Amino acid sequence: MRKLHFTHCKKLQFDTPVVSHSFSLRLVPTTDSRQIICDLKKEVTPAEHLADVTDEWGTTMCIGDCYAEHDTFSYSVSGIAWVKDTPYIEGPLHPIYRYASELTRPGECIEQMYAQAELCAETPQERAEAWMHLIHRTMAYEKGVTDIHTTAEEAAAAGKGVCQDYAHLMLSLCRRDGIPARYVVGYLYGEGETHAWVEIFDGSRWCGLDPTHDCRIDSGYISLTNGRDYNDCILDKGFFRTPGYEIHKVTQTQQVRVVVEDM
Amino acid sequence: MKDIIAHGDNINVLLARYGVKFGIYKNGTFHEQLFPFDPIPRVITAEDFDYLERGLKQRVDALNLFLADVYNQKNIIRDGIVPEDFVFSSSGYLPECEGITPPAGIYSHISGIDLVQAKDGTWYVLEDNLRIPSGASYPLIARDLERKASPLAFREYPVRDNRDYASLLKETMDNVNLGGINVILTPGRYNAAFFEHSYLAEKTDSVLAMPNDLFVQDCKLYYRDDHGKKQRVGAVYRRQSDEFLDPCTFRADSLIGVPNLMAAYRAGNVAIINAPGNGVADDKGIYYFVPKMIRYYLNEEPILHNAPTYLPMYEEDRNFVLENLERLVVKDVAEAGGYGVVFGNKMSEQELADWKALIQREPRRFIAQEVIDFRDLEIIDEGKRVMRKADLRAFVLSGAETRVWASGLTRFSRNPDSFIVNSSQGGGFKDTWVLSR
Repeated sequence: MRKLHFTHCKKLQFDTPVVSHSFSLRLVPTTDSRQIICDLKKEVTPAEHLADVTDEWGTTMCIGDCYAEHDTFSYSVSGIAWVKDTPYIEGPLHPIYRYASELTRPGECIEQMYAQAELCAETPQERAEAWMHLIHRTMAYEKGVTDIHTTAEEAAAAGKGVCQDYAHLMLSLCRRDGIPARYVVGYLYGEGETHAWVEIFDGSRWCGLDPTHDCRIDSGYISLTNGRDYNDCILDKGFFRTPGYEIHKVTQTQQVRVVVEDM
Repeated sequence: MKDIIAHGDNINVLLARYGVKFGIYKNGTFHEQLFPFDPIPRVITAEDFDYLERGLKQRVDALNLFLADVYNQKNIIRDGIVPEDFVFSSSGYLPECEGITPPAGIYSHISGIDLVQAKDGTWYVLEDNLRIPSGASYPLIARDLERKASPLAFREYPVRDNRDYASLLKETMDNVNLGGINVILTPGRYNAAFFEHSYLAEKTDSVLAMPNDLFVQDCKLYYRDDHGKKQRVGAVYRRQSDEFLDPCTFRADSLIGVPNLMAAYRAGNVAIINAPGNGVADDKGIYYFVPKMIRYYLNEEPILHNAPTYLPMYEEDRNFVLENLERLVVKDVAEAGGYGVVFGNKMSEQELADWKALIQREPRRFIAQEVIDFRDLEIIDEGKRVMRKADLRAFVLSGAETRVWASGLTRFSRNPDSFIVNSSQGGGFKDTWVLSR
């Protein structure tokens, strides 16, 4: 097992003070058959109340609020992950991972990709890997062309995108091909931000595949949360208003830093 | 009885004065309209009600068991009774509700079951409404006014009192309350059923809250009153749909939700009435399987009949539908409120062909039903008695036990050619008298 130390910090800066801020954060990686998480430290500021609740898939969510006026919001989490050098994760299959979700529903472009592909592969795992190679060959990695609302279909039509788009496209093709698949957000050794990849169900267990890097996941990947697509895996959500009755548009800027190091 | 009919116009004036209105959105603007009241009550005999009561309890109990199963063990899918894709590709299925057992295991606390009576007297269930069925307040307030118009009528006829709805509802809320006050959460006065929200809050001694009055702290739900005092909420009867309930969990653009309400619910600190996620059981496609659920969970024969229904996703049914479309009614499974309902007998040759192609293209999207020849009810239209199509929404309340309210909302179509009775489509309503003998 590889011993990694991870730190994940995010700071939001609002251009005008906000009040009545409620938030919900998915910050904490969970121990599973592939990774053991320990020595967790987390900090959220400002926060008047904080509570942990476990969501439907076992991810710990940290919910809280800050009513007083504030113009920054930040959180940081750090800990140690012992990670096995295997792409496989034990766990049950929930049927929702067989069906298209909002961001992965195939359209014309994906249907065409699906129909034209001639995969020389049989088992779900082989086929999923063949889809991964195909995506890696046809997509170009480019920042700034897509955003968090871009669907798999739109990314396929553009032929470019970032890890989120690669993962969505792979989910769409795998599910279309009858292979259950889910979206994963986590940390990758050597990457300064969070990363997204997919897990496919091979019939008895999950297998992590990273279409952005065209590989099976290894001991450098720490998984944080998973779901049907990006929408299920948003790490932080917050709702606030500005003081008084006047309407203010709030603009926020954010800084994210993820560091994963060997120990 | 004559007195009530003579006072029909006065009762309508009073209903308008009390704000018994129905709001609808047309082309993005809000219109408020009166919900016209017809003074001739629908009468249900004691014998008929006894039958309906048994059938409705059975149906709602099975639906509650189905919801608990779908969000937990999923036995009914494993045993092949309900196809997996019907459940998990339904827009009413919410993965966010997986593994949550609501207080007392009740998902549908207030169920509105829509029935029609055919000419031969047989009752058919047309639709189950397990999300936030509205309408109980209308016969409730109408009865109050009828009693004022004609106290004698209620001495002459053995009509069961329907004013216990408030206490039934209060008991239903108290039964699942996890410590704290009962709240009726309304999206606000521009909601179609705002009158009902305020009326029921008053009658059940609950607090009528707007979304901004509620907040979650440490996984508990609180109400802040006008003096700034904070009170714990044990049960919330919310009147907005699931997707707007909590912007941290569902639609992030919802301004009528309470952030982190689902976390408080998940932590077991508040009851949500009706439970989120119920849409998976009142989908028009799932309707087909309700009789099968009754046999599966209760090991009983269904007492109430479904209208004969065909699912185009099954080849045999699809062929039948394509051959007989001109005499069937087609419904879009995702629509409600009388929208997305088309009658084969009203279609031109071209429309029939288009619909057949559409059904073949998207078989999962539709169900087809035989058109039931409703028993028409008498209404008064501009002083004359005429016959109109009508249905009945029966209210079933699941508290410590399942109970059927001895009344209901009878809706009728004001248009002589229409089968669609929904208030959002301009229908009117009647009081429903259940006789005690």
